[in-house]
Amino acid sequence: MTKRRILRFLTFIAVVLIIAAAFYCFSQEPSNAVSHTDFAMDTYVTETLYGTDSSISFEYIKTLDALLSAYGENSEIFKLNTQGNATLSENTVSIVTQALKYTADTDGYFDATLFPITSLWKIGTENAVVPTDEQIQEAMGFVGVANFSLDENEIVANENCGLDLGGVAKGFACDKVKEIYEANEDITGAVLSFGSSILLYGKPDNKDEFSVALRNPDNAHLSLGTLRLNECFVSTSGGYERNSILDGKKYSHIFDPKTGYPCESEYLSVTIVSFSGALGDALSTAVYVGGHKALGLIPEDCSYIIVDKEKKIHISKSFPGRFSLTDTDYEVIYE
Amino acid sequence: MNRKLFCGSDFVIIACIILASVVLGVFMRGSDSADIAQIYKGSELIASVSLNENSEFTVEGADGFVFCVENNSICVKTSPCENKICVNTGCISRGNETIVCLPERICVRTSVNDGFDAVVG
Repeated sequence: MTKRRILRFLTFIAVVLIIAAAFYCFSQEPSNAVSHTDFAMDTYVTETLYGTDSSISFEYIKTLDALLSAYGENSEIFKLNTQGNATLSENTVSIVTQALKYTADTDGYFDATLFPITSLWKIGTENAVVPTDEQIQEAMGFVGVANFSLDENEIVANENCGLDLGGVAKGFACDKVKEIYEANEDITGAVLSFGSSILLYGKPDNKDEFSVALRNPDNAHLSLGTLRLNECFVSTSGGYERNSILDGKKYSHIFDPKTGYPCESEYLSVTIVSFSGALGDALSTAVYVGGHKALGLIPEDCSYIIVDKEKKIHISKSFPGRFSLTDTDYEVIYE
Repeated sequence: MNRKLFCGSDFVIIACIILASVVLGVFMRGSDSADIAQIYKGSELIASVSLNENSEFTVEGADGFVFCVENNSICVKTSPCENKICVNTGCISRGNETIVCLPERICVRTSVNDGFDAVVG
């Protein structure tokens, strides 16, 4: 083989290696996001982190769950609901204080004192039943903020009364996990999703904003559009996610505190974008239950995206992000 | 001494190599896609499947469930639970989207590079 042929052969090899290396780099995942999934707070939680590859929130969320669950036998809320009094830890005092405030502030559309009702129906569990009207009316007599007194970390409930913090616990967990993220300099961005409650933290990799798909309530496979959002909390209430079918009828897990029956909302879904997860959770429930009459409860620094039954998407003018409609069967109304 | 290192046919060969590399690179990029679905029982990951190949399958640890991958999406076709919320959820295909069966504590999560960071609603 002549020198010239050797040189040509090496040149060909070099060309192939350079191009292969270029395409290898090109084919790599551009983001450093790492996702973890675990079961907590009676649902699946997915945490996606940018900047670090180890899950840091699940153990904390499980600790919160152990304190706040209405049915966990070692929880502080379980003790309150069964014994009528309890000594609360700092986190439980914080969420109970918020939950009772939101109950008082939302004209009865969100109610954290519905434990006598939720424990009667047991919607979403294998023990779900349709109670009699008499049972519901009797249970409604034990609902209301006035049945509870909280003095620093000591709480007392009247007989047969109890708290169900399921309407704010996931949002509260998002609030607390955000504090953990803020204390960890390695985390440049994160998405913590309980499904109905989501924390968008910092920035995603290689983008200035988070891209969030707005699910079609009629078909989970389809998107209605894309939300572009910066750091915030996103809470959604919809009767289609957790329910029970009893005697051929579907019952939502969201209750109307004024009647004690599962809510039959005028909306398909209500999404609140806020700067507090617990508040966002309470507001999304309140507006889902109260419908248009409850829109006035939403403060100026929060915004809503509501999907109604007439294929209209209502977005408040205060919405801090951008929305791009992809399903042209729907109409967007800014109000 | 004045003979050139490359003649005309060499440039044709180099062009062919570049073209073949591009095709190979695109093919590798497609086949190495991270579009997968992970199936959890409680906290335990019990299966991880590609969304690029249509299939219908069962998973050890998810008794009574039948899963179906079709057109880069996944759904729960059969479930032993009563309320069938997981079946009625339909197919999912976007990044970090989930199908959840709470009674049986089964979760299907997609990991798809479609630009979405989360799904709400």
